[in-house]
Amino acid sequence: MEIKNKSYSNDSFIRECDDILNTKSKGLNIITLIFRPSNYNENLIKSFEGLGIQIKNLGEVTQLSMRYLLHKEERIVNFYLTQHPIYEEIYFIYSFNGISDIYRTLFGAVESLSDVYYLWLPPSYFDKLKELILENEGSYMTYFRGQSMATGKGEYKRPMFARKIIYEAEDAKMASEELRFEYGILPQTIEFVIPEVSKFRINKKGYYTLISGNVGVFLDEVINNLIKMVIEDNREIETAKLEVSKINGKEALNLKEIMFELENEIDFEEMKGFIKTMEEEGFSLYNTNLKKGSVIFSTHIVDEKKGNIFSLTSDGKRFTLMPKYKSNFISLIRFHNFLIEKIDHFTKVIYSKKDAIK
Amino acid sequence: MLSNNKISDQKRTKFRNLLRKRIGERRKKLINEKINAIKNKISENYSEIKDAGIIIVAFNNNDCPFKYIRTEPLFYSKEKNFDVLLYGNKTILLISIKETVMDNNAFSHIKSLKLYQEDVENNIEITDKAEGIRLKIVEFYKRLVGEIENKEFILATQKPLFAIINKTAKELEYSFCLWKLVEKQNKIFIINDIINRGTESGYFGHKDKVLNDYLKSLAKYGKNYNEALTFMQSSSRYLRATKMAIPLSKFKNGFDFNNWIDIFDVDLMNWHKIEKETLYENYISYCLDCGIIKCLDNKDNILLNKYKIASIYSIAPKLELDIIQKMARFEIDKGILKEEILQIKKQVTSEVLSEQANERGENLSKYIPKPLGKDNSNKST
Repeated sequence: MEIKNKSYSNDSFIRECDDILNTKSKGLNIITLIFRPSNYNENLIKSFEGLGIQIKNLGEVTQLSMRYLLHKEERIVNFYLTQHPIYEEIYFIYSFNGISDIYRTLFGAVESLSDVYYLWLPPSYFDKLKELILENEGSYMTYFRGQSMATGKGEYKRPMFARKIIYEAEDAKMASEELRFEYGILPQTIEFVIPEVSKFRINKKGYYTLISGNVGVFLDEVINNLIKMVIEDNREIETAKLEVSKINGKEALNLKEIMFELENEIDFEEMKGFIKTMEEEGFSLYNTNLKKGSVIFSTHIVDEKKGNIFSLTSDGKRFTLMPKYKSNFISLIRFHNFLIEKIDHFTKVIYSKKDAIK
Repeated sequence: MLSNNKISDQKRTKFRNLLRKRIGERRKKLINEKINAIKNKISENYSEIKDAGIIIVAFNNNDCPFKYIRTEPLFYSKEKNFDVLLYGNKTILLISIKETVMDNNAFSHIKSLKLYQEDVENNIEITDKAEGIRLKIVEFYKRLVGEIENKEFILATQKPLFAIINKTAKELEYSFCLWKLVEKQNKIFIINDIINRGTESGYFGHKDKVLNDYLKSLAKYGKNYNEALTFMQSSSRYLRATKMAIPLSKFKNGFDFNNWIDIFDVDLMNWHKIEKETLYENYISYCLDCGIIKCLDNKDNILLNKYKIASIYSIAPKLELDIIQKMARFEIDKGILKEEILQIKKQVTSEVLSEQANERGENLSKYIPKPLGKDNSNKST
């Protein structure tokens, strides 16, 4: 669906979205992205344009138009891109098209760009947000879609089985807690109702569907709260670097690593399975060194989806990573996401004390 | 009997097929041997790079004034060289890295370090090939780092055999600092040992207190590490061709000299322009010869041309193997196989001629009466 073709400020665009939401009863999808280019001349609009996406400038908003064939009929999907007013690396993409249209168009584009990723929500933050929303008077969960993520370990019933579930009832909150406790199922999408105020869905991948309610309030009360939670981890991950700077005409090394820590460590016997899982997720390894005993694992990883390369060393519990060859930190976020989803839900970002020997 | 030394028209096809088969078999064998040799060489080089990387990362700390300056400062000048140069507090640390210091190599490694040190202490004159000038060696280092008041010489290794090292130091009457590099869990530790030629040598190790304190903390707490380097000047062409290709394959529309400098900036840190150009030109020429890269935009200048990694594989380990196979094929086809083809040809010719002669003999033998009770049909002479 296309909105009126005119110049918008951020505020007037939000008002326009409100009008459409209230008059046409179309759900508004909002996708949050993180983008910080390795090359400062790059920008997100240029990156999308490079993929053949049609661009139209609408003031503070940019319209992106993508096409695809559905049952031999061409469908046009329109997206509206804005930058977060405070956090410069965060972007919003709005669309009144359905989520299946978005899956068939934008998601593939985002996956293929080396310096863009979803503002993905780790389960702990997802939980915090859930609690925050449910503090609203009378609010409740009506739906969730969940799956078991990291398999193998844990106290769940028959943990070797991968599970998926869609649950729709007004006791969704309790059911999700029971299914998590008994079967290790974590929600991927949750629908909330705040009576007389709004109804919306949030997805851990960082996209939201506002079914009814006020767009501005939704942005402030839900999305911005989540951004505040995840931005700190993302910015810490972003500090990892390996580069050369010039000081008094001489070159100097600028190196900083990022560390992730698992709650349950991986032992030597499990390492082969871990490597296989990494490869299945599009991370290929070279220069790999794996020693028995107390695990010493060092490798270079190519994020085959994003084209970035980083090096990694690990003792099975702590993973120290460093981007190489001017690679974008986005792949470190993707790797963090992988550790949480596939290996250990409770993987933490370890914040570095400046310049201490670690 | 000239006609007997010629392969008959009937046998010519057989000769050609047999020759092709034998060359193919030999080529396959030689290529497989070469692939293993290349893999071993890469692994040996990689271990040296890893050790240099450990030192570089260990000294990457704002609390420590000693910083990584560059690898192999004198390699291009073909002078005696150190592997890693660190500098701080007006002190240069010249570090020689060895994979092992054991019975079979301790003497040569320690003697080399002693001779390198003597060259620097005696401030010998060298030719700086990058600048094209003769100058004193300390002046060369000063141009690189600034003021120098103190010089430290270090032997670093992951595998030291202390009994042999101490014995050799006494034999060579040489005292020095040995840094043992230790990888433990996801950390690296540097343990500084003072190797004394004798109890009365008056050698107490590093003079700089800050350096000693920092080394103590590295030995006690260690440091997280990741591999910082990809190659050094002394690395084999095999290692460079393989390890450079994976990051260069990111350039889907091709790369040029500037892209190359940009992504390998840590390896090329504080290198002279001519050193970078020479290494790049050698890399490109070799990779073009082997078919590892192809030229996308020819401007008749290696430094300006655009190149692309030429492989059907994009996944890193497969790409690496493809490159190793290409290098092995190139080196076998251009080198040893060419020499061996003549030999194989001679051998096959002789076999076919002998078979031809046998067949002729066999034809004649039809007319020779067989002794009674014996069947000699398969024993032609």
